[in-house]
Amino acid sequence: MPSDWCYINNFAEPHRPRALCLPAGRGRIFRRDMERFIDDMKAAIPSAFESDEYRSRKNVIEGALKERHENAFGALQKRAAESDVALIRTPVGLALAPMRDGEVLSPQDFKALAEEDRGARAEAIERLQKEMEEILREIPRWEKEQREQLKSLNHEVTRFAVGHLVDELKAKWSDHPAALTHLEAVRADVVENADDFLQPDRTDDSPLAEMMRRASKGPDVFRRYQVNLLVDHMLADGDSENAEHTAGAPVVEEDNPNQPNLIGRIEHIPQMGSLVTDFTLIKPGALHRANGDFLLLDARKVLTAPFAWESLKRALANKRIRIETPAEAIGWVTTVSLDPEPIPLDIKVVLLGEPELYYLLNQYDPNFRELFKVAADFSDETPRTAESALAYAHLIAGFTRTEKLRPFGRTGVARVIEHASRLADDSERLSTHMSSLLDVMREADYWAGSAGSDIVEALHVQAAIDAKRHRADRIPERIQDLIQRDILNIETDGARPGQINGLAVSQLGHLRFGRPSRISCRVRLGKGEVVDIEREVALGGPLHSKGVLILASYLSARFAGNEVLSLQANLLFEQSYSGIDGDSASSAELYVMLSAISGIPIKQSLAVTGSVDQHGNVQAIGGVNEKIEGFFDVCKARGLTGEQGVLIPASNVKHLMLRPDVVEAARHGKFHIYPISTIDEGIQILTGIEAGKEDTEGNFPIGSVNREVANKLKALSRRARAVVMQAQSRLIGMANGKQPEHPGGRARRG
Amino acid sequence: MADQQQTGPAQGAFRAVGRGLPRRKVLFALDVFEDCGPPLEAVIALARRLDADVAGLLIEDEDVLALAHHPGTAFLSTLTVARQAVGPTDYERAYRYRVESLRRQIEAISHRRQVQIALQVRRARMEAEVVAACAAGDLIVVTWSYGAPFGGALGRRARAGAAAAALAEAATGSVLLLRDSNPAGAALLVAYDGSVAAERAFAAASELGGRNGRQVTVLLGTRSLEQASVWGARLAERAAAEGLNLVLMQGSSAAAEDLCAAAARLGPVLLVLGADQSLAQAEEGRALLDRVGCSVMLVR
Repeated sequence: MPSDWCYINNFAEPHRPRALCLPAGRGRIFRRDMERFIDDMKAAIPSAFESDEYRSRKNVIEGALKERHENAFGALQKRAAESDVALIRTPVGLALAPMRDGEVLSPQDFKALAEEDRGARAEAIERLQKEMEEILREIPRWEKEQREQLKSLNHEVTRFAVGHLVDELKAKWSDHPAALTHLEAVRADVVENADDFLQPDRTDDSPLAEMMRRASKGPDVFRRYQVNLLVDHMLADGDSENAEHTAGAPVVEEDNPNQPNLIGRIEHIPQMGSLVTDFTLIKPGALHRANGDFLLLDARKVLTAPFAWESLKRALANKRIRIETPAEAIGWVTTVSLDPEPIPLDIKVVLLGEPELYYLLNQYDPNFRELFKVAADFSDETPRTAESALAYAHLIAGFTRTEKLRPFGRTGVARVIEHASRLADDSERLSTHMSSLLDVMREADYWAGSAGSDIVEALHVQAAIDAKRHRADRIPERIQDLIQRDILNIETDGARPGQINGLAVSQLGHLRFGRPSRISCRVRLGKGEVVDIEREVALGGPLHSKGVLILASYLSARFAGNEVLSLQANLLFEQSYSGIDGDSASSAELYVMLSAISGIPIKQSLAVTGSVDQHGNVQAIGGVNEKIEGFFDVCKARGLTGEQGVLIPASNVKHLMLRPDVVEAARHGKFHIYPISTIDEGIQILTGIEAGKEDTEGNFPIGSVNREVANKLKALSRRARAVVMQAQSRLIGMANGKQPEHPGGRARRG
Repeated sequence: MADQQQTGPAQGAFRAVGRGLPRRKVLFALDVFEDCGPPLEAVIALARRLDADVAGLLIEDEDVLALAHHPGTAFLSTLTVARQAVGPTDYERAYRYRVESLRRQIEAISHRRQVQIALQVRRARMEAEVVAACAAGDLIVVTWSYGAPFGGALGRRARAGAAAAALAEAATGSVLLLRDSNPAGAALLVAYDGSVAAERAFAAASELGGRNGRQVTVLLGTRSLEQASVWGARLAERAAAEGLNLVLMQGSSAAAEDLCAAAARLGPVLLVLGADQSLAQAEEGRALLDRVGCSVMLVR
């Protein structure tokens, strides 16, 4: 069971409050005991000081000083009178003046005295003055003695008044040495500051003076004996007398893990225009509350709160909680404030966050690996099986109870599970991102209520999904509008060489949507380069460039054999004005390049997505559902002809979780989805012409796409060789001093 | 040379005077070296009890002022405990500063207590001026240091009794000699010997204590039980009529010692005597006033 922690006054160094550890549940009892002690002391001390005995003893001490004064000055006065010298108080001290018959001699009478008489009086005055000096020098010592006697008396009275109170507490807390030490310190402080507890007669103080006096002493002289219970493990409704009523340390979750909320803070109160504080204003942080057990923190919040991460690490590394302000932590503040005694820390901190944060911290923060040794990586999706679907149904039922939703019918549950697969972008997986599902469920409940249904069915869930999409799809609608108005040129019928419909996916916040994009290719004689125009103008990302370079490799290996490719192919995403990345368009780029080389047109009713490797295998891509739906929407708006469709990688089939209208159109043959494994399969569908397999001699069948491609490439190669030979012959002629013949009859340098 | 000023907020006219104490003005006389705070608070409380106005008389003592020009005078600083040379100009300036300081202190108390105080500042000889001012007040209040050679700083009791008794003889009104305690809240002690002056003193004590049930202790100055019984019965009858909290004590003919002992036993107390009562007369009276440790009112 974790301990209770208190802060108590450090009487020797008040700016360094002491931490007091007590068994769980005992902190509240100790605090209550000290409150009662203070109440008892408030009554006992004034009562002792108002007693007749105290007054008598005080009068004796004060009277003794007066008597001392009177005796000393009375004797002096007597001697002065005998010497005819008057002692008179003046604004500049005491005056000693010559006197006769009890009256001060006037200046005239004094001057009229005989020289000897004046001298005798001067001597008397000189002598009396020295005696008076001796008395006056003694007065501070007498007064000091009187103060010490009064102080000693006050100590004695106070010690007696509070002694039994402290002894009672000590007996009760005898098994807690730290508490006993504190109680002894309290006793000593009470005795030492006995004067503070008296209420002096200050009727002469103005209200301002009284206010200043109170401010200088602090709000309450008894406050320093209070106990600031920082961590309390007694049950909220527990019996404060019964230490059995304790609660174990809970698993603490700090929702706002800024630095003060983590390590605690020192609050201040305004007083006479300034901010003051003491140990009672120390407030606990999450580390205090969770000390001895677990603390759950959102890693991102901790990292983004100023100084929180460093303070957390420092506390964990030092195994103690030291409360300090950010300004103190970085040495900006040098004014005197509290420096509470650090509290030992024994805690397990669980940081929750995205994997990326874990990897970043692991990479860049050397302390992280030392402090957070156990990593638990949770997936945000789970396999979709009969068991998990059933568990999901249970989960949905649970949510309906906790969220007080209408019950979900069989179709409603099924649609939610399908939506979970859609969120996972995989028909064989289920998303475990519960908040997204809950959002849909809540909205489905609303739609069911609007429709007067007591049960949430699939149509209500679909309405929620559609509504959510509709609220966010202004941009996709805008793009569709541009396509329908032929501002963005996307053809969905006919056939064209060197032009194909690619598919891209965009993400705006949580919304992902697909959009078709026209890719074109032009070829001419060249040095075997495939020019990525997007890259040339710095709009293409590295992954896209990688895909394009793979095309050149494919072409060389597939068609050039031992010969050198002698073409230059320029690839372009038409009407693309922002950056593109990814290799999901590489198969489309290869198709359009084959079309451009061969001159065989591509059906514009089809769109293509998928990456390709150097061997012509089509590979999986992301966002397949959004891409299909994006092209479907364009076709649907123009009218489904039954010819339209999308070529996707065969390995993406398992990811298909399409909208019901797309599924419906495909089911009725109005829209097609072609799973493709190789480029040959794809080009055949796109052109309607056999791709053609090469025979053992490396020749493709006549009439096939590949044959046409190979022929065109060979023609380009021959042409390239001819050009090279012609150029070489010119160079040889120049070396023999023969000017090359130019058709125009004029010499020209190569 | 005199100036007069009104301090504090204006108040209503003088109200009806109390029975037995036909005072209308309490005159508080002090020299410039006295700390006027606690005594003035006591005077204000007393004046409220008696429905009286308060007048202040601040005296710049000519004798003290003249010391600056005196060739035979030596000045000793109480601050540095050393002899110092003081010229007349510096002396006068220091004196004026002290007077102004005192005046401001009185004004502050007047303002805080919402009491109108008619303050006069006069340059004169101290004792003569106080006696002369007696005609202007029904009750003259002087602090115990009055008449003491050091203005109260040294030997507070020195000559106080003699000076007070002399003042009481000269004054036409009653005289209150203030000591440390506040007479407005103290118990009352009356020395009763059956004389007219003692009757007057008892009436004054009744006036002061009767309204709020303060204890009035009467010391019967006779050894005769019979006489004491007669006096006690008479006083008890009057006390019952006036609702006094009366306590009777029997003393002896040597009343001065009895009074001093009773005053010490009762704690904070105001001793009330008739000004012409035998106890307050001659050497015995002077000795009593010097020895007794409480405030004393001499009722005329």
